Amino acid sequence: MKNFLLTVLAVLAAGALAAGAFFRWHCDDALHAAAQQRDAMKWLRTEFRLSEAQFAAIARLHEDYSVECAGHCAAIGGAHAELAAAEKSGQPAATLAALRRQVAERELACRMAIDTHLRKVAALMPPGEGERYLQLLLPRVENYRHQGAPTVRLDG
Amino acid sequence: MNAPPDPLSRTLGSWRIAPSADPQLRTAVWARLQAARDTRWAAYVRQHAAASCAALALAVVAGGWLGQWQAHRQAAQDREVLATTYLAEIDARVIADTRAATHVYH
Repeated sequence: MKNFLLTVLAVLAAGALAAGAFFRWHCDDALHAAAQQRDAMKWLRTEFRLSEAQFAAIARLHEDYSVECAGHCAAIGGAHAELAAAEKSGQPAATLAALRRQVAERELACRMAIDTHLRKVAALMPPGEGERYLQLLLPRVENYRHQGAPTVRLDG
Repeated sequence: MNAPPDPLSRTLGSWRIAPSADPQLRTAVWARLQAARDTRWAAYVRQHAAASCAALALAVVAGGWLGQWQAHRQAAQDREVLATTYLAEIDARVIADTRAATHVYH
């Protein structure tokens, strides 16, 4: 009985060792480090195999887009604030509907701008990687439904 | 008629030995016991070689699959976090929503 238990322990130890070894072998350390640091640009660079030149061009594109993004952000924030104020002061349904349309229009403009921006970024990526980038991100942009994101930088 | 006394019995009766104490005796005995135990387990494994090998192979394959699955799961979670973080930095709707939720406007 003791020998049987010893054998079972040895087999389990070998299984655990194999699990650890395969985990280390398949683990993407760069990806995990980027996730831990919430460093999206670092991830972009490694995930889509960007060269120095491609990464620099994409970083520039992001920087340029951040100005446009800030404009959209202010417009959407303003529309939300107007709608919230109207709802609070008990404005008529027609006014509220118009304000909701305004929010929707500004969000649509924002979504289209992001769509265009992502396609520009994808065009700078190596062949194949751009398609993968769009496949990963475009559905998220289209399906965004005001759930907020837990990791947004608020100092932008 | 009595037989003459055996000189061997007399010699054995007068034989005295004084063994010297061996300080390593306990360690040596335990080492031999351990060796015997190891040998017994090895013999057990040899006796059940087919079953032992099958169990070992199964454990290694299952462990390997589990390790690989866990690594892929972690990578998928990391990608999810990073894609969300990335979009949160460029999607004005997310930024506006979060600011509205936390009342932080710059």
